[in-house]
Amino acid sequence: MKTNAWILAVLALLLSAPWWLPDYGLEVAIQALILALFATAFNLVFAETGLLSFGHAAFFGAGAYTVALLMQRAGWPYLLTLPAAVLVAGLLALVIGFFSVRTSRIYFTMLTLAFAQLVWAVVHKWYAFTGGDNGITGLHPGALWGDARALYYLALLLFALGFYLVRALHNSPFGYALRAIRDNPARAEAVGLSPFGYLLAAFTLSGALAGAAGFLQVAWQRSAFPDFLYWTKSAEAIIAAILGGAQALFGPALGSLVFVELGAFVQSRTEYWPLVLGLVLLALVLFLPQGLAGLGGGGRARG
Amino acid sequence: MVDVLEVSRVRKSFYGFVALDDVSLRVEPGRFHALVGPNGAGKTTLFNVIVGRYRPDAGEVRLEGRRLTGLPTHRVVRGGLGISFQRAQAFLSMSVLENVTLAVLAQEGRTRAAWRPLRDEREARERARELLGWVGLAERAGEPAEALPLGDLKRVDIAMALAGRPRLLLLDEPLAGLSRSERREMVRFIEELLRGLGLTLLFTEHDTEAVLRLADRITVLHQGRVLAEGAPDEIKNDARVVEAFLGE
Amino acid sequence: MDLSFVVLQFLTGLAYASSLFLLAVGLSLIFGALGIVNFAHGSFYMLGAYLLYWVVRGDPEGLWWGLVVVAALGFVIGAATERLLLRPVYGRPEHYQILLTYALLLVIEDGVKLLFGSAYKSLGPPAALAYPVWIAGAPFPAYYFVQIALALAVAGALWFFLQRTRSGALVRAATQDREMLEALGVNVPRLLTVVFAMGIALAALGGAATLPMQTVSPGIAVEAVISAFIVVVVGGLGSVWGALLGAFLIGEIQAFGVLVLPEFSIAFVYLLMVVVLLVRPWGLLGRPPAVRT
Repeated sequence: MKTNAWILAVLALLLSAPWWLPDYGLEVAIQALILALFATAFNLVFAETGLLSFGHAAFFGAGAYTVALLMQRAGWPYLLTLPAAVLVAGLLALVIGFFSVRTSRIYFTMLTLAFAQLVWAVVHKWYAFTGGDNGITGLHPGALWGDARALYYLALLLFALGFYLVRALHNSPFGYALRAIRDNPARAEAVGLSPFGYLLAAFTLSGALAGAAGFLQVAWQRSAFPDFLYWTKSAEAIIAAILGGAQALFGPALGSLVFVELGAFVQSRTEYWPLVLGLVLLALVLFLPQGLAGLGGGGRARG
Repeated sequence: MVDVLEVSRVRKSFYGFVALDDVSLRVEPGRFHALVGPNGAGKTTLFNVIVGRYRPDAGEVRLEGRRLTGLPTHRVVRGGLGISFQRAQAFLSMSVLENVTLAVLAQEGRTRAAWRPLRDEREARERARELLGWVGLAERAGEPAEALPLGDLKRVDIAMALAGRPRLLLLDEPLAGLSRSERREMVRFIEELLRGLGLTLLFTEHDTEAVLRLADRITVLHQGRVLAEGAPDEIKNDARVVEAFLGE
Repeated sequence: MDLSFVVLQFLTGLAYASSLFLLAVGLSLIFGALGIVNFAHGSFYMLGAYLLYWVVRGDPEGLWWGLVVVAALGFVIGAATERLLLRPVYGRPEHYQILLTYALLLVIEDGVKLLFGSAYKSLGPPAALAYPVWIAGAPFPAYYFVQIALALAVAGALWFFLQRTRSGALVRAATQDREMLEALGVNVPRLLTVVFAMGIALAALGGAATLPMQTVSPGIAVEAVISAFIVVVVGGLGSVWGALLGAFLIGEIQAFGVLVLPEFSIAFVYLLMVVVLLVRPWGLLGRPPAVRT
């Protein structure tokens, strides 16, 4: 009852944002939505399986580069590149996941990091195909999606779809199976669950969603850069998710909002944003282990 | 009458160390069969071979004539074997009911559904409630698993193991970690429940008193080999067995 | 390709490997004994270079005592970091430590920018070494031999410390069985502080030792930590010899790879990391986890 009122209020705010936000605010909101989608995608694996992937930038970047290349080389209209971005990112996640989900804990993290850096290293130097470290620039998503308001709604829609998907998965038998595998792999096998398939499916879906975030990034930034694939991009999603609270479904989105807003705020006053972010994170880890969601006592929403 | 479980001439070594050497075992329908032995005798290794965690170097494992050897655990479990590992009790992030519901769904191969909530799986939930009723935990269905004391967690575990209507229940040290009175409680519980359901049981256990009470038949392992097998009275008085246990 | 050219490339690889070794060996020690993946490791490496710059006030002749001072400073900073920041999060799931060390990375990187500015800093070698050695008709900086010698000396000293001293035996034990140490009455928390401090001191020393030949800027931390990961993964988490072997392999692959496949030599290194993680995750010289029967 009270939660529903809150949700409605937030929805109203979100839907009407282009009308009450200043131009700059709208740009920041789009950035926040992109990161929210990316972080939610990442968190699908992290929260449900317990595996910390440090290579999700590869899927984000794969989505972005797919969009960029199709637009630049094949003249595709922007919106049409979305299914391609999701597909390519998902395929990449399938391949990387195939090798990675058999491992666990620190090895999984290192392996996903290594794969992603490998992709970065190739893209970053392959001037003929990807433009190398110059990236692909000068992209225009067309009259419609080039308008910040339209892009905002597109980002909001994609984020909502992604969030809904993750939520549905969380509440479904599949989600429970994933968490069972996370909680107690031996017991999970002993009730008849084979971890590999479940983990791979979750990882692939997560990568596909991250690709959708990359798709949005290209419209906002009008370019694609190798930076999208670098490990520090992966770290952004991880920070946003943990900052907001990985155990809450809306945690990554909340963390992304704070991360982007705080970043915009700090950067307008000082150039030392990484320093501030670092200090905030330190405080967070030392004093708020549940992330911001933990402040409200918000556990994993059993919605 | 086909044996429920037949283990024949199983051999397993690790990096040259022979953990199991030519071990054979037969569990007859309806029996409570205990597997005992000093530490390091190979009980857990044999258990793990039977449930598919290890592949034996030689030998066979059959359930009612069907070959289980080499199958991974999740396939073994769907083939009529209910398992409860020693330290692997329940999924602590979920409620008691969710734990058992998941076990039921997993047995039916319906855990791949990603589009509707677990809540809506009515049949599975009903069956889960039934199982919880059997183990006497129906009132605690809605509680989080992590709030349960060990004894109750073990019951949840057994409820999960029963989800697939197994032919044979395999329990690895069901009494581990329990106090004396809890143990007696657990022994009584196992006896009543499983006799009532007509289930066959194979269990490993250290607690001699419990074993002698519960088991119809005992296989004693020592240093990877079967030292003796027989009815509790025979085993109790077998000099070799006594010596093996004293020597540990 | 004639022999002297190969020798030149080989030596170049060795020089690179030397700085990699110093960067990575501390990470390996820290992971081995504390189980922490220190994302800030490259930052301490970078900090070491900045500290040297600051301590010698632009005078290359001060290099020798500067290195000693930086190592000592690194030790103190490492000890303080472990005591104040890391100790509170022991026992929490791994991702907290990762988050914490990443936060440190950000703070140190920007902190350095705040204190020193973002312009590149360089030092130059001491006059005695500021000349090239001619190999294969190409100039090879004499200072690189110092780096190689330093790496070997450190490796030797570490070996001696770990294998032949009592404290070293404790450190080795910490990488294998911390609980046993506690049971034996060893002050484990203090031991862990010391190991972490040592690891950071080594990183700082490594960074400082590259300053005479390499410019330093705040951006190098982010790359350095990845390089350290590669070395440690390939060589073996927790193994000093592994760090040496890993550094050597990566150094030579880079040196020769640049000739064969100039653009993708880095990609090749990452590919090696992937292969090692898939085939032998504990690294070439690391120990596989104990088999539990």
